[in-house]
Amino acid sequence: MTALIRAELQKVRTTRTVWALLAATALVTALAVAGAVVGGANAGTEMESDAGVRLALHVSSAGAVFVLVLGMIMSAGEYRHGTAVDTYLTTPARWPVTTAKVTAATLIGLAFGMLSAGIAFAVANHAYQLEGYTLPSGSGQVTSILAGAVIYAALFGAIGAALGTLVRNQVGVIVGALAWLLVAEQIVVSLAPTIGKFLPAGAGRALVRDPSDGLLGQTTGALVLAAYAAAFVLLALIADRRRDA
Amino acid sequence: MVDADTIPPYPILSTGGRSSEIRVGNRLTDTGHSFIISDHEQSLRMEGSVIEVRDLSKRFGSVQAADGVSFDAPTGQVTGFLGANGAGKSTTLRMLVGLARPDAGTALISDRPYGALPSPRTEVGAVLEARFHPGRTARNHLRVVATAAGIDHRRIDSVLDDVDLTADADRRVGGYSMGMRQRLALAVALLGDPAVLILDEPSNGLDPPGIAWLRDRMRDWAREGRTVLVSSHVLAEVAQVVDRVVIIDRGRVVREGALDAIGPTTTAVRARTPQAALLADVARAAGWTASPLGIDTVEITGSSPADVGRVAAANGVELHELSSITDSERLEAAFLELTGHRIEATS
Repeated sequence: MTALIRAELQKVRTTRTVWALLAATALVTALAVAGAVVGGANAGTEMESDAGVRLALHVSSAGAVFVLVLGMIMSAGEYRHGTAVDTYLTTPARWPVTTAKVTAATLIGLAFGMLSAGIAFAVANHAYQLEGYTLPSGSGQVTSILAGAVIYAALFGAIGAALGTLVRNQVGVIVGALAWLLVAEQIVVSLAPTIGKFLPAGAGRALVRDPSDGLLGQTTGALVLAAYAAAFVLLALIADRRRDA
Repeated sequence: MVDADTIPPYPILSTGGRSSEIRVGNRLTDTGHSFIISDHEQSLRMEGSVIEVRDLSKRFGSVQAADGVSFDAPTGQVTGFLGANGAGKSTTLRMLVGLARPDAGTALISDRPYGALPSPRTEVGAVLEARFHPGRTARNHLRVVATAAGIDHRRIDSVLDDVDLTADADRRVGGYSMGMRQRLALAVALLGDPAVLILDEPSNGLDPPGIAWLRDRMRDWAREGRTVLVSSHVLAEVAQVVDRVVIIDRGRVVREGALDAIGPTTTAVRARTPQAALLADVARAAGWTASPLGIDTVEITGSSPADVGRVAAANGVELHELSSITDSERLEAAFLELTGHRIEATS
């Protein structure tokens, strides 16, 4: 299994896609945090309060969507480019490949998440100073939100790899997943908030302590998102068992 | 392009105990005694068929892509898997290597399904689609396979050299020609130094020198004791190299056997002459069957080029060309007879 995970990481490293997505993640995180701090301060929010820190840092997960995309490319991309043939000639059983992909995508998500957390911290620190505040970096609030962003990205990596295994059409699965996260789920949330908070994006927002009302607690959010990841991975393992490559 | 030490001498195969004399002896092209060949072939079929396909069936919607396909590919031979496009070749090969699940039937390689081989890459090398990520270099593609299969990365340079891609190994595959992709696919197949090679239309996109090179390699592989199964819809590419042929049409195997046993058993001679009618007459008078093909060509069966030439000379018939019908033509004739469609005689 270690060899398969290393091979999956090698596949990701040897194309340019990952670097483009990493750059996009860094850029989006920096802009989102800077915008949140400046916007919050201009609106008169007390930025050193718990609400202020949450407002500033919950967007540190803004780049996780790129990890989701990368995970989907890791799985569905194999069919787009026909490399699934070589993958399954090397490893005829389906589940070890899916497991290796999910594990590799989770590890990459961790790395992306840590980069995002680092950038979010540095940008927030700087933006706080510019606005005349001090980021309460010694407090547990900052750490818990940034830790949440790392877990968020890791779980999104796993979900992406699982979705890309379930739906092998790369463009279709990416468009579908983004449409769900950015549009469909928001509609459900506005129509039925009690259900909406249990949906993936809502659970993710709870995980990074989004200051909006009506979300789950951070730990519950983490568990719900992890449950989604586990469910998608399980579905992917089952669905792929008997399908032709 | 390839010298003897790029591929190490192949060890005795795991199916065991066959001597190199027999491996050489069972090559049909090395001996003219068909009864000896069939003896060998009998024994091979019983104990040395590395690839055994039995009653494989697969339906896609309303299309029965494979309909009870059965054949063998014996050790140390090149088996040609021939059929028109859409006849079911790729579907069968994909089932053989576990990429597609058959509706019924079994496909065994060294007595196991592909999926149950302990180390598939070092036992079987397959070229199926020759598709790669356009943004990845050839060397990196090979690295990924070597890593996943646990193959020593030092093999990478060796196989790149083997297929003459060393100079282009660090370029992205997106810039490769079709022929270069085919050669990269062969390099991937050779990475694990496998005893069984399964090649689906491997000469697609290869230039004529590339096709000739591939033919030599297939011959070498078989001589080294490897099992080669090669599919093609272009008869001319494989007729010179295959020992056995399996002809598939509309999902069914319509003929399987040694190359010599396929096709019309009577020898045929083709003569080009401005006096086609006269030649046909004298040939018939000599007791042969003669059929005019076009204005200036006669096909004569039941004779040999030497006999036809002698009779033509004796009767004052001017000959412009005299040739025996080649293996690929005989094969094509057999194919036509068996399936009623045409298979490309040349690329």
